[in-house]
Amino acid sequence: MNEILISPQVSLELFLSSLVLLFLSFALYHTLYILLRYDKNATNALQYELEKRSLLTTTIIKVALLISIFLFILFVLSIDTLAELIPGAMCGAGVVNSGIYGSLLIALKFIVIVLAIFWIQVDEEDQKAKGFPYFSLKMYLYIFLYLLIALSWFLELNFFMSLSVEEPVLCCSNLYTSQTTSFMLGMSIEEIVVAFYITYLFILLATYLKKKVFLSLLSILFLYLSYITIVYFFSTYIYELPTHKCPYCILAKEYYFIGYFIYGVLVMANYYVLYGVVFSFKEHTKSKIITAYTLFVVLVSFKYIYYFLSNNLFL
Amino acid sequence: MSMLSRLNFLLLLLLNYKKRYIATFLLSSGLIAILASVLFLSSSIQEELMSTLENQADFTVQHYKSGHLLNTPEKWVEEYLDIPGVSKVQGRIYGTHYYEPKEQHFMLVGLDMYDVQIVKGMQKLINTLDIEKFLERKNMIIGSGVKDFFDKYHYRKYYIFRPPDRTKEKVYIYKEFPKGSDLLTNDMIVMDMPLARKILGIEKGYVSDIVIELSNPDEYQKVYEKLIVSHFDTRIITKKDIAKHYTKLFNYKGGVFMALYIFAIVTFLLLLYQRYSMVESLDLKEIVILRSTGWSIEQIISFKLVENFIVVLSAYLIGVILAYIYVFFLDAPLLRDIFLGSANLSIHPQFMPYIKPLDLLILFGIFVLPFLLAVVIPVWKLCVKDMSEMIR
Amino acid sequence: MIQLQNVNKVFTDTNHNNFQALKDISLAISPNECVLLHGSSGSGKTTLLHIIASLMKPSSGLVEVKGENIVSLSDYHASAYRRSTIGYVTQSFYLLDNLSVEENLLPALVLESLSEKEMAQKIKKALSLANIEHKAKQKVSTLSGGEKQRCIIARAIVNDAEIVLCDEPTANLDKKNSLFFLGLIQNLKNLRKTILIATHDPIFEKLECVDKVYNLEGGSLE
Ligand SMILES: Nc1ncnc2c1ncn2[C@@H]1O[C@H](COP(=O)(O)OP(=O)(O)O)[C@@H](O)[C@H]1O
Ligand SMILES: [Mg+2]
Repeated sequence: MNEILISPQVSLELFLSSLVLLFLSFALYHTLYILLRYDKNATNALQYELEKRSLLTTTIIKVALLISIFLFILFVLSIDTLAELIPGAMCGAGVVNSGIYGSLLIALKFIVIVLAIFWIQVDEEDQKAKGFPYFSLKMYLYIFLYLLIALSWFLELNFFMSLSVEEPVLCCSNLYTSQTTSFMLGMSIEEIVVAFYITYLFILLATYLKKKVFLSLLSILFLYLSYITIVYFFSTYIYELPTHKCPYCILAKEYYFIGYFIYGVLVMANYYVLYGVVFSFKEHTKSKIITAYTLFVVLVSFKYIYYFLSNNLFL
Repeated sequence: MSMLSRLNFLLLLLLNYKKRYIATFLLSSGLIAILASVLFLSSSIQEELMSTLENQADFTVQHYKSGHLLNTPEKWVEEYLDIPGVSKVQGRIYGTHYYEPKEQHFMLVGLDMYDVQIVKGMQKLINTLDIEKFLERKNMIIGSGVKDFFDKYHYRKYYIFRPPDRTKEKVYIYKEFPKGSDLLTNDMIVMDMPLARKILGIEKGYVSDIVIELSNPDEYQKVYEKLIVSHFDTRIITKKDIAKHYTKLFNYKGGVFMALYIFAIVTFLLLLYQRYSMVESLDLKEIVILRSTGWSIEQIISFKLVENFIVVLSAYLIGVILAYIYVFFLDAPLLRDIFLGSANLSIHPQFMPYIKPLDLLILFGIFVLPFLLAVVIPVWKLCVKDMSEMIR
Repeated sequence: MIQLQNVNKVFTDTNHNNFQALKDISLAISPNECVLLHGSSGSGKTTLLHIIASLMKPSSGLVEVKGENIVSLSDYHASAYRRSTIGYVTQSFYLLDNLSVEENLLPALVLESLSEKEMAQKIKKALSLANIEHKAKQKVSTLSGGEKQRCIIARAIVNDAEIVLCDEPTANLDKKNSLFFLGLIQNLKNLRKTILIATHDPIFEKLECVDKVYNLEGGSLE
């Protein structure tokens, strides 16, 4: 048996995510049942029955979200301890890069959490508004979410099975040593950082002007830029080590768990955008989006600015 | 505000209807206590092994020829010293002494008392000695397991070894190992190097193996490669190898227990599902009251889930505390035999209170969360029942 | 205040047998009216009260309360409506026996954002209206039937509901307590509540404040 699979964290991770998937499948069955019967002109008694049924989905998603967040943390912690088993991996990044699905998996887990929070919000709005205006949105979104979760379950299984305790991997510091990597449109990392800040300003502007389409496009771009700048630029300032380019170690105790705040705020920011775009774009949504993005930018650039001010130079 | 008063009301209900939850609570906390004990124990042992590892040398070179472990030529020590990045090389003398009549093994270690030991545990031991006095006559220091054995066969002052050259060596018991790391030194006997050499029958010009220390950990890979090509009849054990070996060992044990856990949990959850599927009249009554006073179905479901969560969370806390007491105050009777095996000499380990946060997280994940999932469907079924059916 | 038009309710059991519990019910109740709903056991009284309290959806028909059609409300809104408007006096003693009298009023209060003080005030007021204040701290399991009934009434009115629905309130009471209950109804009427009482107890002929009487038989009004 694969040694990775029998380590307690990994077997728990797989056990729990399988359990969650099982329950979500059960909810999917009910969701499909509802979708097939749902009719805006149906009798109130039938609608009431369907409404009760959909409460099962609501409840299961809430518990599943709780478990997903837990599993996300467990995943980060367990890839860190797995580093001991895998030759050459010095931290989680080495492990994640050693499996082909690693980065995709992390991104997927992140998206699933944002979408699950969003689903719960849609559900709540749907119940609060009269006449179930978001009913079908809710149902189709659930099916989409289910597919994502099933995919991430599959990837996770493959990821852990593909980890090898025999073959050495390249860890973060080895992986990213080439300084001249170009990322998109042949831009250098410094240019990307500038783009990052500019995008941030545009997001503020789009939010202020309530341009929904713009805002959604910008937020996707910003998500991508955030990932690159965190890995290749900001993290090096947090670690105070120019060669340490890694998105996971910021989650570690050594850096005061700052990563959880950074990623948490990013989740919230994206969630508020989603909320604002789909539902009402009220003043308080506006201020929430602005606050979340600003807090995120401050959190990631804090060490960098501090370093710049105190030493008057860059790493 | 309303959240807080709802929680208050929930606690009021829980405290006044203890009977309803007592079975679940006791079963859960018992199960968690067992699981937690196993986890704590294995982590504690692992941690202790790992901490002894810190004292280990970076490399250990053994002479290994046609599948047999041989004594290592002492002249290699000089060769290895020439490798750049190596700061210290030391030949070691040790081996097992076998006491035939009782089929008992001792680990015999010979130390050069005036040298600085690479293996830091040994250095610590020497630091506690008055070396002059120790070397006055043939003396030895023994582990607690050895001491028990000697006591049993009335070797109170000295013990007579029978070296391979058919002579007799009468060695006095100088003292027992200081308390501390009990696991590795339990069956160990330490004495002066020439004496150990004689008892073990290791010829001049040979040592048991060679330990190597690096001046800079970054040189690790380079030195490793040099060692590999320097002689082909060697086996090189690195500190990392040992660490990995320990981790694998415990993952394996952990894996077995994990399988058992999951089996236990699934059984438990099925029982739970059963129990919640049987609707109690009290549950129905409660729901009728809540519905008629204006609670929405969703609020009732959340209320019931939080109720279950609180029950299982307190069971979790109690279970963890019980396990902590069992393992770290009572030293885990019964369970420690499974883990350490009651092999060889009796062991009286004092487990270091050590808890990995990951263990707590794993316990939480393996018990509390599946529990919540298991009650979701029965609770939902109960709460969406038709009012007319509930009051019948 | 309450208006029902052609309300039907059909129950379908697990064997797909249909049973029509309510047939074409239409009625109207004005604010501050006290209405008696007479009917033998199994005539559909409870079903009708459930529909008015939006605890159940009719199979067809219209139910308007305070000008709003409550039939199409989602459970979320139906519950909010019930919380703010309806005080429901249940048929049997639906009480939490291990809690005290005042603690039994909590379910009706904890969903509102009330301070401790406001809560205590509301409880006190409701208990004194239902004349059970002297037993506030006593465990419900130790109360007599009449006292339990008053506890339920206190719970129904603690949130200042405008409409009070009573389902066979005297079914489990002796003569003396039943008469006492009539007095309470009179008090509620004086407080300008709209009251609907489902019963088959002839004692309500003694109740003077009754404005209207409906007779329910086999699911239809006569
Ligand atoms: N859930 C149900 N399924 C099938 N029949 C029901 C259900 N609830 C009530 N009934 C039937 O509807 C009729 C009216 O019930 P109910 O309103 O409780 O009468 P009452 O309160 O006047 O005694 C009864 O014959 C009862 O058997
Ligand atoms: Mg009835």
